[in-house]
Amino acid sequence: MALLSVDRLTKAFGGLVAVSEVSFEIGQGEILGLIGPNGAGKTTIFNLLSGLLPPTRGAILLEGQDITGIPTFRRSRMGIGRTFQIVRPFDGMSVLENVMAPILARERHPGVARRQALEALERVGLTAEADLDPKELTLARRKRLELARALATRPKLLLLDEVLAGLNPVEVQEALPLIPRLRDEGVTIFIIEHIMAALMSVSDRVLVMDQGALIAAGTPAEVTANPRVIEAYLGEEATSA
Amino acid sequence: MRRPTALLLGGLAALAALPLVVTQTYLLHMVILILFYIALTAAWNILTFSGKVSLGHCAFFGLGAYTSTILLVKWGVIPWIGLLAGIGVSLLGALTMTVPLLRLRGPMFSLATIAYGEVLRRVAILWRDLTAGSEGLTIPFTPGVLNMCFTSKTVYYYMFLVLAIGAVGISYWLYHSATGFHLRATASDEEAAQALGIDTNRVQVVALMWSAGITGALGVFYAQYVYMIDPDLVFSGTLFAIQPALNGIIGGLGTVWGPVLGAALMTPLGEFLRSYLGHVRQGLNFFIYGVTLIVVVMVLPGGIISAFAALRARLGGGARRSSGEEAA
Repeated sequence: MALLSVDRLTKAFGGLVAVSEVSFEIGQGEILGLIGPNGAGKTTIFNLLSGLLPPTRGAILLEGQDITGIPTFRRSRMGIGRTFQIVRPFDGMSVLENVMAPILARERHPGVARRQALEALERVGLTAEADLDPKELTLARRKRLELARALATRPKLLLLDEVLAGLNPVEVQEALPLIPRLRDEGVTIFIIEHIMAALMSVSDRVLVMDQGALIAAGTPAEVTANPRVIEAYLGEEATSA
Repeated sequence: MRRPTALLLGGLAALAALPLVVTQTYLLHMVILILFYIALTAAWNILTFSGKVSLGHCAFFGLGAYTSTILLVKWGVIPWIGLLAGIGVSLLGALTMTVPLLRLRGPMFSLATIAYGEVLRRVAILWRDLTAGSEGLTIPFTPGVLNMCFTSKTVYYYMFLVLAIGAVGISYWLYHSATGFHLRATASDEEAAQALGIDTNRVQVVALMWSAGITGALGVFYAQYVYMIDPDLVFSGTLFAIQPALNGIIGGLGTVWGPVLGAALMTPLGEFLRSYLGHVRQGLNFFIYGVTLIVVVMVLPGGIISAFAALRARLGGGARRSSGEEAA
């Protein structure tokens, strides 16, 4: 059984259809990439999966259970974790406290939460920055904090929304190996990424969206050879490059 | 012993011994008022941990005061039982009237809460059978511990001291508990908090209940201190909704110690200006009070407490930076 199945998911904002009849599955332990031009509906898909937006039509099933009407915080506790494209650390909390907040949703004791938060920070290499204000971190470090916070919820499925965007090439090379390592630890990953080469190198399979619709799915090699994809997305990149 | 602990214990000892030094009735009344406002502001501030600024806390205050006083005057129920009933009615009021407002964001929530306090004031004026309307209710002077009624102001001083310590203690405990983390996360970014498994609706209700319950309890004690209550007094938005909000904003919203500081500074300032300048030119005291508010908010948008935080960061930050350089 797939970890997550999405059945004809549709989201319309008034007359604008941001996501149209999108269906796909994510297998346990998979790294699934999601690409598409700006405005294709990628982040909307994430917002629908995490429950921040209600779908207009369609269903979302986690391990066979329909979660379409379940509120966001409960989906998080059921195992859907996510990061945001624009990092959103909590104000007035240190890096460590930012990671403690989600842990305290299942673990009421601050001492235990603190220990687990330190472990999560260690996983993403932020131990030295634990007591800093997130505002003092570089963007690359803040993205890691975003990741540590999502990991602290112990997700089965982790939605990564452009965790590499805004990083310089060196930082990308440093951050990239984290993703397969997380999969090896048992986390299934669904990732949106603009940096093509990076996405293609880590993904088992890639979905391609354009104007709200799913236009292709397959291995990175299959997708990059697909004429529709080249036209919709890669073509645009190729001509601009 | 750690320095903050020593400081705290020293402060408490000084507070306990204060009535030995302050023997003038007026001054003792002032100190009681400060303690009262510290408790009220701390209670009010608990809701602002979640980012919601209420301007209608006079509703809970008045509900508490009226509940215990009506029970006492009409049916002779002792105020200690009235206290439990007052807390219960305040909680019920918060649950039925304020919880539905929590879905409103930012200023919308604040505005809606103003209406709630005002509606209750009108109800108290019109429901003459129960409240005696604008004439108000008078608590019979029958000294005794059971009657929560004392001849000596010193007893009231200790009563409000315990209340202030209790309210600030609950505020401190909540702030550092799991609930406090979730409230602060909710205040900062509700969607991100939800995506991280935090039930933002539930924690806001929890904060509101603590805040309203303590405010209602303070209404009961206040009624027992002033003996006479009427709708314009205990449902006064100025005294019991706006004032704690001002104290909180001046001291530092959403922190534990900011509101304590705000109440401790603004209460004597307001009283001093009123008694010394109120008769010089009508309104002069409010003018100076207002100017003080504007200046503090402009210079320190994070409240007075933020100045302390900045100072500590400068002192501690210098040391940390130099150790960082050694590491590099």
